[in-house]
Amino acid sequence: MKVSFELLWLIPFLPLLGAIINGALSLGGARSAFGPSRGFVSLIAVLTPGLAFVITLIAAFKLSAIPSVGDNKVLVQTLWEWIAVDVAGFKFSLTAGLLFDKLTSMMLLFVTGIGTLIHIYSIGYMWEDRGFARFMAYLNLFMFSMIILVIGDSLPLTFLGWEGVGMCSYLLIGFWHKNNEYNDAARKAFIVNRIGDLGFLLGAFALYLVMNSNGMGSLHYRDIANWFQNPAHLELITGSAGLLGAACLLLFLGCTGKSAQIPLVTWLPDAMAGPTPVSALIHAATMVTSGIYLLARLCDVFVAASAPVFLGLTPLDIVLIVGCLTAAWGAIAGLVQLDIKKALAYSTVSQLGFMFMACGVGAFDVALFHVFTHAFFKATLFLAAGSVIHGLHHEQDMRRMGGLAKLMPITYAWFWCGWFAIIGLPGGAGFFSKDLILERLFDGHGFAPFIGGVAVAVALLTAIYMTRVMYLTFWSPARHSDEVKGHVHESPATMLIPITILGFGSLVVGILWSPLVGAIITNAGDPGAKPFASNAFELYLQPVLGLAQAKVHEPIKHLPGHIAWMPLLLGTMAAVIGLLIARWFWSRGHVNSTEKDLVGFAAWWTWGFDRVYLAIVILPIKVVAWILAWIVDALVAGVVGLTAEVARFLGDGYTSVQRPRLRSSLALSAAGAVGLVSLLLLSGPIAWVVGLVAVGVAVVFLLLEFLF
Amino acid sequence: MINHIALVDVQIVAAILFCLGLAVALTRRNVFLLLMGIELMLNAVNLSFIGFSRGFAGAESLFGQMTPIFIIAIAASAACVGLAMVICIVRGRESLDSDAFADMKE
Repeated sequence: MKVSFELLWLIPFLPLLGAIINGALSLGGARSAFGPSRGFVSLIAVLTPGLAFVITLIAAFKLSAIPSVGDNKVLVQTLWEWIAVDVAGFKFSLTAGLLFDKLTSMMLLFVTGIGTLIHIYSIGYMWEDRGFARFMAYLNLFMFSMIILVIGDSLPLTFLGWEGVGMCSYLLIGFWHKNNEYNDAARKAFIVNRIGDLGFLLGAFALYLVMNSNGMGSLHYRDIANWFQNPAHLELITGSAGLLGAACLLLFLGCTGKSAQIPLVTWLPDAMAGPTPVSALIHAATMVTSGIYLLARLCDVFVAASAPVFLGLTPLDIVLIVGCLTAAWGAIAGLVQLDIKKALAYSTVSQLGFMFMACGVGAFDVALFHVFTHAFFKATLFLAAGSVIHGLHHEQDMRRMGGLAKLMPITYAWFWCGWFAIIGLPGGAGFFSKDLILERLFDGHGFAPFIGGVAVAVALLTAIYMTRVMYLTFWSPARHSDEVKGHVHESPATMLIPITILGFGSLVVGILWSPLVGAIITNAGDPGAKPFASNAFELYLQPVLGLAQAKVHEPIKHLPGHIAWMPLLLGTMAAVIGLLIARWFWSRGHVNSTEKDLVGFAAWWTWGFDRVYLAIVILPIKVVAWILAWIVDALVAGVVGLTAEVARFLGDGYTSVQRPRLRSSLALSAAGAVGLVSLLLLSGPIAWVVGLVAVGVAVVFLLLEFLF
Repeated sequence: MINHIALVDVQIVAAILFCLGLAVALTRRNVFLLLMGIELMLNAVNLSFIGFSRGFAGAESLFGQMTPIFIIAIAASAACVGLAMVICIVRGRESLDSDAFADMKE
């Protein structure tokens, strides 16, 4: 059921307004020594996404209040006609509209909610920075782009947000642009993302072509879902299996770019060059999950593409394998990081791999649940890490940390909660979502259970590297550098309050999936519902994802008190064993202090990815660029020069017939015109007569010229 | 009354005007008179257009009446530019004789 809601446009517009105001203030205050009023900037920066959050809440309640059960309830707002083409029999039209369904509401609630919290945190973190207003403007612009990404009702509008978050990511990674390494990191992120963006565009075109096979091509999500859900289109889907497979793979390439999966993984660890709130907001909680969002949004398409595209693998199988490889890669790399933010960055890569694994077995709701819990605990970890960095005066090297549990107790407490959640100890948010992923993997067909085994190993690694971070940062004896010693301080309240909220969230949001609590929430207003039928989160997303998921695997039978014991046991064991292993190695903070912090090509844990890129992407592009430069210099410049030479030659030639006297020039041209007209238009003797007279006049004038 | 005038008569008048303009432009050495001659030629063309437009009905007739309006506008701007240039040159040369400008080629 479709209901129009006229306030939806405010959700993206408010942060945009904030970005414009703060951008103007930043530009206006560029010449003053201290910049525009930080208080006012903070107010605008926090208020606009905060209001967007409130409107999102209102919309979510309105959505739930639509009286129809089981049906896909949506709020929509059509903004304007965007593209209307009707040329030579080709018709294409696209309206810019907003779509607010269950999936959007879930994404928006945490994007705007966590986003607002991180804006508050940024006030404390960036207060001393000269570019405070500029930073806030970028953050607001990012919020706008991210909201557009999830609230747009068509692929092109999502692409607008998709590009926007990429650009904001670039701006914010390179925020401290006086450091050239940071600029390189920003450029790398942007360029790698561009490769994925190309995949997104081509995939969208291919998808349109598939749907246009019966003239119903459209880029609106509702049309796409309806088209692929329609049983009458099965034959068309089989008929264009190759194109559909290509569309899926290209769209997935776009997802790997934004969500830092193999092969486009390398930019995310470098992206830690940006200020810590940016890492928390963009590179952990929101932007990197947009790949998962796109997969879930197009779940009907991916499920319909059931034909093998490569080595007998379907697109979803490829998603599964890529997710598995990336999760393992990120976890192994996370083991050896010395920079606290980089350790968390690799952890993000690894967790995103988990989400893609879940998508690969068609468990989109579980993937989104992990997105949701991950947003809480990873934001907590990053913000707490930022608090540590702030407290240690911009020290990020874990070799010079340690002993902070006593010095920064509040930060420690909430980092502990994030750690508790991510390694999957019973009760934390990650415990629920990660075990669900394991459960679905073991439940899957084909080689999915094997992947599940790898996932358990990755969970073990996760516990090891996260506990290592805990030991090196908080639990081991202090190893601070001399200039910091004695000055370690707890962070201001604007930073601690958001950490507190998020840390508390990372402890409790997991229960949304618990059947017991879920049943209470879900069945509150519905006396007819069966108890324990399902849980709140799954049921919430059911209208959007249900049809697609039912096609992939049999729905799991939730019995009263049903618990899938094996994954739960394995997951908990992995966490505990990992904790103990890490305790064995790092309980006294032993890290070889002469060990260099390896970067770029020297870092072995990137598995030579950068080298492979150098060989297969960068070098060929350089060769092509060299050839193109030669073509431009030699050929194009030659042609241009030749044209100029020809023009000059003609001009010089013409000046020789030019007469210096104005009157003779005029007479000659008049005579010429008369001659031409008489020869071309007249016929018979009169033409000759007139022509001769004209020539005679011209001769007389020339003679006059020479005589006088 | 105007309907009694034959189409060809208008063209003859226009041709005479044109020739007069041409003659002025060719024979007079004063730059201003030269410009006037050119204006006269342009107006002769306008007259010719108007004369032909009477031979058509409806839209074609309108077309013949619109073209002179464009020509008048363009001629006005051309005269502006021309006069401005003439003034510039005259200031430098202290002369209105167009033949005095004959060294401009170099």
